[in-house]
Amino acid sequence: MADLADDAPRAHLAFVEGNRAEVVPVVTRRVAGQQLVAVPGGARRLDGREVHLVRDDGQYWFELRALAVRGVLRAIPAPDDSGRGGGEPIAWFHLEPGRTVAWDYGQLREADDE
Amino acid sequence: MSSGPGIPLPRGGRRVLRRSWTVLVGTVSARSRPFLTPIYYVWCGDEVFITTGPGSWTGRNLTTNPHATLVFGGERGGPAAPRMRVTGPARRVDGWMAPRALVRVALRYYLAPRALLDQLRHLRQIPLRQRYYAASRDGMGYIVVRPATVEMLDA
Repeated sequence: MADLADDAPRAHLAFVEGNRAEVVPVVTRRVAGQQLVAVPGGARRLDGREVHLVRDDGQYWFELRALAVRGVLRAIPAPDDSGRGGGEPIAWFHLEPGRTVAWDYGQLREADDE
Repeated sequence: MSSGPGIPLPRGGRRVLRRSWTVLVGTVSARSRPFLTPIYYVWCGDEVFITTGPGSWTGRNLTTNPHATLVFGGERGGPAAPRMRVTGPARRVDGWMAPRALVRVALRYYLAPRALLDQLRHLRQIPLRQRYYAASRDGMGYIVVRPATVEMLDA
């Protein structure tokens, strides 16, 4: 699952806005063991908010994999190599991870209860 | 996908649906916490049928907050890939899907040539898949979302 943490084909973030789930595509990057999240649109309002980050891959059943992390976003300066000097503003955050759930159906096996 | 949505879609929306295999379903829990998960779906007429049971996290969240946010697309092409966001009221339904939706789920996800190849490659795990579903707390059922807003997301 390390590749999903490092370079997921698809990453989205959910947060609560007005009692409804807002879902936005994001870019994630792992730097020195820390999970960084880039949110297009300059969403600084997400600083300190609880989010659910999902990175996933796969089309057919045994290909499906995902890494879902619940955590809190903390605003950080843009990394030096973050690119995109112009255009749409991008807000960068460090994700303080809480509960993490991962699945990889292609690796489904009998549980070892011993 | 996608017998065709019975509501107008923005430009590029149908193309996104054709390429979208799992929809990201966002809900809010009774404790006002966000929850997001990718799930198989079919869009029939003016409803989106989502293949998760009433006892799943998504299903349970909908009992107290019957609203869902769906994002289609983005599986290929990275962050710049086009996506479509749909919001609307959602409800949990016990039992089997309506035949028109069930047939589409089967044809798209389990009986398509690549789906069959995927299962052939994992023949030994298919009984485990059956046990996995049988042991889940999701229960027999599904979720239905009735789209109220539809928009393309900027890359």
